[in-house]
Amino acid sequence: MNLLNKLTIKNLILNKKRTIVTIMGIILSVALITAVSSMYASGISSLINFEINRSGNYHAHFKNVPASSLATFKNNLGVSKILITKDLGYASINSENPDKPYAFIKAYTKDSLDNLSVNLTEGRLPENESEIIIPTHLKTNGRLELKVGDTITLNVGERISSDGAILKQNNPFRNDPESELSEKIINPTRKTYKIVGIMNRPPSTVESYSAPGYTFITYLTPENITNDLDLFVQYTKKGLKNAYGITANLLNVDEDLFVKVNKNSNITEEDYDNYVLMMEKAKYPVNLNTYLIGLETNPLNPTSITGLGTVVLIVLAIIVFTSVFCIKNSFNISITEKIKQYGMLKSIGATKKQIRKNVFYEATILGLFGIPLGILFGFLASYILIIISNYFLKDFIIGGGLLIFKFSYLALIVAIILGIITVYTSAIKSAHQASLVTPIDSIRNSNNIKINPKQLKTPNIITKLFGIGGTISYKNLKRNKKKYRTTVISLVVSVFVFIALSSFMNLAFIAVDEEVKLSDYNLSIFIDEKDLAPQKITEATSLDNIDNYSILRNNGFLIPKANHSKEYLDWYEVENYKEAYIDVYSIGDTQYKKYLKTLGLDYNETKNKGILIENYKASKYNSQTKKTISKYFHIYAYKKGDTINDLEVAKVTSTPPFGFKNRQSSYLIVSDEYFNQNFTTNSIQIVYKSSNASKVQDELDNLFKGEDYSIENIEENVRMMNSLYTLIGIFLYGFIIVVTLIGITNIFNTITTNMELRRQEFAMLKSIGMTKKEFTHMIRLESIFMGIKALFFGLIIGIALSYLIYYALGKELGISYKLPIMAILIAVIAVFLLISLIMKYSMNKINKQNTIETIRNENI
Amino acid sequence: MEILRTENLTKIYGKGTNKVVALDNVSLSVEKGEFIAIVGASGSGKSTLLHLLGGVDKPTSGTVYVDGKDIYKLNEDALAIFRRREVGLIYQFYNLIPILNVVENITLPLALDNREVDKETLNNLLKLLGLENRKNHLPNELSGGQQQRTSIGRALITNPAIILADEPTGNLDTKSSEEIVELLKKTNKEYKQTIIMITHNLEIAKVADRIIKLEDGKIVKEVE
Repeated sequence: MNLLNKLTIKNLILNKKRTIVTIMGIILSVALITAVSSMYASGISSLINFEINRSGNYHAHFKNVPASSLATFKNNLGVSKILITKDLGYASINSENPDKPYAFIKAYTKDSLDNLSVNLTEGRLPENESEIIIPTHLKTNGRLELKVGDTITLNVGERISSDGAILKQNNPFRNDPESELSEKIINPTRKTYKIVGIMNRPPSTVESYSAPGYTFITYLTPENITNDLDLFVQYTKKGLKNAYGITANLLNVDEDLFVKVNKNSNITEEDYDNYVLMMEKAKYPVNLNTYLIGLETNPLNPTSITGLGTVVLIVLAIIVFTSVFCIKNSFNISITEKIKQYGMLKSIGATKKQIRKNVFYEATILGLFGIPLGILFGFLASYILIIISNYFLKDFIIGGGLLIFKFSYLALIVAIILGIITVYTSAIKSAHQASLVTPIDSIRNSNNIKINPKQLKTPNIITKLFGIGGTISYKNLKRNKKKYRTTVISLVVSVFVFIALSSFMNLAFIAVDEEVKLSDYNLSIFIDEKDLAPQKITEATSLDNIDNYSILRNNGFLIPKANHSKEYLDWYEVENYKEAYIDVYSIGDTQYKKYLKTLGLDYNETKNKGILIENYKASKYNSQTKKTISKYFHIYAYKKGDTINDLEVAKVTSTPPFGFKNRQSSYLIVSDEYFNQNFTTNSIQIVYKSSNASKVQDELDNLFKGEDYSIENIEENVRMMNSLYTLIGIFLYGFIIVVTLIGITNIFNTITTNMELRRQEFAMLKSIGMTKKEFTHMIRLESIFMGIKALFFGLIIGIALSYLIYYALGKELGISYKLPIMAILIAVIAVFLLISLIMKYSMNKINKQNTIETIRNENI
Repeated sequence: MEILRTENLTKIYGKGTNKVVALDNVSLSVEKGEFIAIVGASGSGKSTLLHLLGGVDKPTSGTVYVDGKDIYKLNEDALAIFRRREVGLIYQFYNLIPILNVVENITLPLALDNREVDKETLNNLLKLLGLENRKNHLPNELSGGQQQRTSIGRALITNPAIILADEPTGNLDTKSSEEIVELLKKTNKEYKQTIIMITHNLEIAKVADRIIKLEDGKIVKEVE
């Protein structure tokens, strides 16, 4: 090994602690880079997985392809897999859904069944042409109950409209009696199938919501692969890069125009017209799975996933910048310390180039330790983070779609490259500086401190307040302005980001809480009442653990000439006596009677009248003052005794019945009797206040099994929101903690080295009679001055940011701004603790030194 | 009047085979107002003796009396205060605080003691040192001689019992050396300042009242 390099290694070992701290800085920064890119890569593969799971693993869907063309697909080098399906046709079934009277029979090959998101809930996949699987919503939506093992006979034919058009799944069922068009099934073939499995409802790309047929899937045997095939084609990795070009070739259309129109958003009208003409002549219709193609080909494309790519790039840039800023200092320190050595080396003939190389050699050694360890920790961290995320996310994502950890070579390469860039960029300036050291510098050994007397001016108050110790420490901070600036900035950034983050998190949790407070119920169920047995409602309201409930039915009036309040007319600047719509609710007899009692009304007198609730809050944004103003006022001018249409107003009040607290509007409450006489509704909502909402929810699920209903558990929502925010918090705080740690390595190195460099100075002060106490006092002042400076800027920026966050998010919630006192306190304590710990560490080291030895060492 | 006395002062560095006897039973008495030069080869124990006299190092055995006080009986803080008030140290490499200017460096011991600086005393001292026009300069703006004069000023400002100078001219050219020696002689004569100075240079040693020669940690010769 080269002598210079040997020297470097010796120096690194000699300054063991600083070397370790610097390596730790590199590890942290590389780990952060790795974790961010690995999380992103894992996120992308999770999305791809989710998408494949949801709508199938294919890149392009060609329709109506004859078997004779299959060879063209198979011979194309860009195609890796062809998934064949075939539509067999429609058959009438006994569905109770008037818009979905058919089964739509499709046949899938083995590959297609495996790759086109056929997700079984029970049973198995079909293995021959007499086996079939049915979807779950046949029962829940069509109320046709078929079990695994049943045999069904279907007359499968083509849907044809009365005007002769052949109808497909994208044509809704023509059952409108007022329309002239109707439809029927022609050319039926009788087929018998055995049901072998039940699958989830197919994705909307296969069966849209308006499709008239429930999708049944049978097996497609090779002999049935004839014509009118649907080909779902997977492209090879190479092929994906030119997915549009390959598709154009398969369609036998002009590649340039096809790529241009499909890839580019700015196309001329002429291009588009040509494209439409061209596609009419294309061999088959095609649907490109652009979302999946986008995900798989260009994971960093900023437009592909709602700008997430851009965010990741910005975050990576921030990390690299912060790291360079901090690690740079470590190199700089090591150079300052070694000036003597470099000067000596130069005086015996080392060239500039050799010295520069020497610094880079140091960087390489540090990088060799830091980068691989950083990558290791980064992947480990992202693996753990994904486990944590899934723990919090499992409430949200039902039916798969959790995050999957994926080891990504791209992330690895990104981390290595950025890690190397970080380390070498950090070393560049120091290398240059070291190469400029002249032999004479080493002899004088004083050049690195170039002081200008003016810059050291100290306010009298410092001397008066803190004595000579204060003056010396103050001046020292000023002398090392540049070095301490990085320290101060690291602290400032940590402080303000921490405060801003806490405000944000605080606000997020408050927002969730507000949402809870907003409504007076914590559980709500919507039920389709049409075919519902009435006793089910009674059962639903007599469950245990229910404190209060309302059975809401809703309809409304159109008031031809509504009498609005003056405030309303002024606010919206509209004319009175125009048409208006008003909601009418019934709330269930029990609740209604209870409500009348609180209002002091009599049931028999009121039951054919309406109670007008005026509970409206209007908000308006004034673009000139940039303020949102809001105001409560009545929408209508109706008073007691007035009639709205034919309904007499029994009372106008702002007190709503149970279940309406979050409805800020004007509406009418009527008795159930009145409602049933005058309105109809298909769905009812029951709102509950329950001491055990989850239990009630379970019982409701049980009660309404098989019915069409949906439950909203507000407490559950709150819990989910809170866990989402906790997750965001973990990410944000985790990020800022690591960035702060990188900063701390820098602070540690700066302070300890600076103390080290001033050894001689300290020894001298002691020799002329500074006591230990005075010395400690001086050092302590130095940390206080530095802490104050960092906090001053950190707190100001932090508070400003927290106000901005409040302004952007919190104002809407109607919360007044609160100073984030807790966060500020934590920041203040943390900063002083940190600085004083580091100072104490270096002071202990200095106190251990013998005054006389120090002076002597320097004198030799 | 005796101002300084050492009895059997011994300093041993290291242990076992590494053992070095830097000072071997040195007994010495200094009268107030005396100018003493200590000469000797490198490693003869000159600096060790000086540091022990100044209370910056600790003897292995033996005692040092300053003004009749046994300084090594003092605790660490009291010793620091003793140094600040009774001892003026002058080093070969000046050891000025780089961020303090000439006046601040000179008055540093007073500042540590929270004592007011007497303007007249300071001005007289600056005049004596020839630094009237350099008051606000930082050490790196001064020549070597000027820096050493500043450090002499710092030693003199407290009006200490003794001044200990460790090769004060070792880093200076002939002309500056002569100036510094002249300055020390002058303070010795005018203020009856007791000075103990280490030097290599016999010519310089000749200005002293008494020359003590050290060899292997022992006093081998005293010349009046």
